[in-house]
Amino acid sequence: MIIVSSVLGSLGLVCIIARRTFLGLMIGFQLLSLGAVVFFLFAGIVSGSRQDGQIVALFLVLGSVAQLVIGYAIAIRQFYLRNKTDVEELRVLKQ
Amino acid sequence: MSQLVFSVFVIVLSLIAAFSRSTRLSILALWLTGLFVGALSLTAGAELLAVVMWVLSTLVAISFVFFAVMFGEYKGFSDKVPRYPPPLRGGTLFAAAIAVSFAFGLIQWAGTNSVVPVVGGGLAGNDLAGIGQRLLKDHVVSLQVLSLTFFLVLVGVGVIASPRKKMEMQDGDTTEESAP
Repeated sequence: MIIVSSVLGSLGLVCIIARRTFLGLMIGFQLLSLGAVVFFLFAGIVSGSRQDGQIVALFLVLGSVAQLVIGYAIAIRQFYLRNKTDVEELRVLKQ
Repeated sequence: MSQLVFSVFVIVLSLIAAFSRSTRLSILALWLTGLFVGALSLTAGAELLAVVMWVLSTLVAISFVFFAVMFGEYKGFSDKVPRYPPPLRGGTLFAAAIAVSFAFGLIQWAGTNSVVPVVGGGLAGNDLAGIGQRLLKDHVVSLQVLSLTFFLVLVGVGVIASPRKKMEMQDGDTTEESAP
C-alpha cells in the first residue's frame, strides 16, 4: 500500500510539473492528495491507531476539495482576462 | 487478493489520468481512481472514508467536466474528423459505464467481511460513533481550523472570481476597475 501511495503521489507530482493547463494541474493535485490519503490510512492501520489514520485522511480529502475550489477561482480569473487557461500566462494576474 | 486487484486498478487509472492527452479520458480516469481508492479504504475497514471518497470523487469529476467545457478544453483525442461512424463513437461512454459497474460490483463483493477479511486488527471503535467521539475529543482544534479554512475559501473565491468592469485605455489596452 505504501507503494501504491508513492506511485500515486509521484504521478501527481509529474502531472503538476508536466501539464500546461490549469485543469491538468488540478488533476495532478488530486492525484497527489489521493496518494497522501492512502498513505495515512494504511499508516494508521500499521501503527495501531486506525481511527487517527482515518481522521487525518478525512481532513486531507476535505482540504484537497478546498484547494480545488481556489484553483477553479484562479482559473476563472485568468480565463476572464485572457480567454485561456495556460499556466505560463499566470503572470497576467500581476496586473 | 482484492486489495491487490484494487491497487493495480488504482495505478493503471492514475497513469491514464496523468499522461492522457485527452481531457475527457483524464477526468474519467481520475474519477475511477477515486472510486478505487474508496474501495481500498473499504477493504481496510474505513467505511466512512470510503463513502466520502466516492461522493467527493464523483462531485470533483462533475466539476472538472463543467469547467473543462467552460474553458473549451473538453476534448477527445481528435475533434476534427470522427474516426468511427456515429454508433461506435459512443464507445467511450459505454466502456466507462461497464467499467464503473464492474468497479461497484467489485467494491460490493470485497466490502462484505464474510468474503474478504478486513486488513489489520483494532476494529474496536471503528464505527461512525467511535470516529465522531474521537474527532470531538482529540481533534476539535483541527476541526475548527478546517471550518475556518472553508469559510476563508468561500470568501476568497467570491473575491477572486467576481467580475470586474473593463476600461478601455487610449492605446487600446484594457484594464480593470474593481466593482464597488
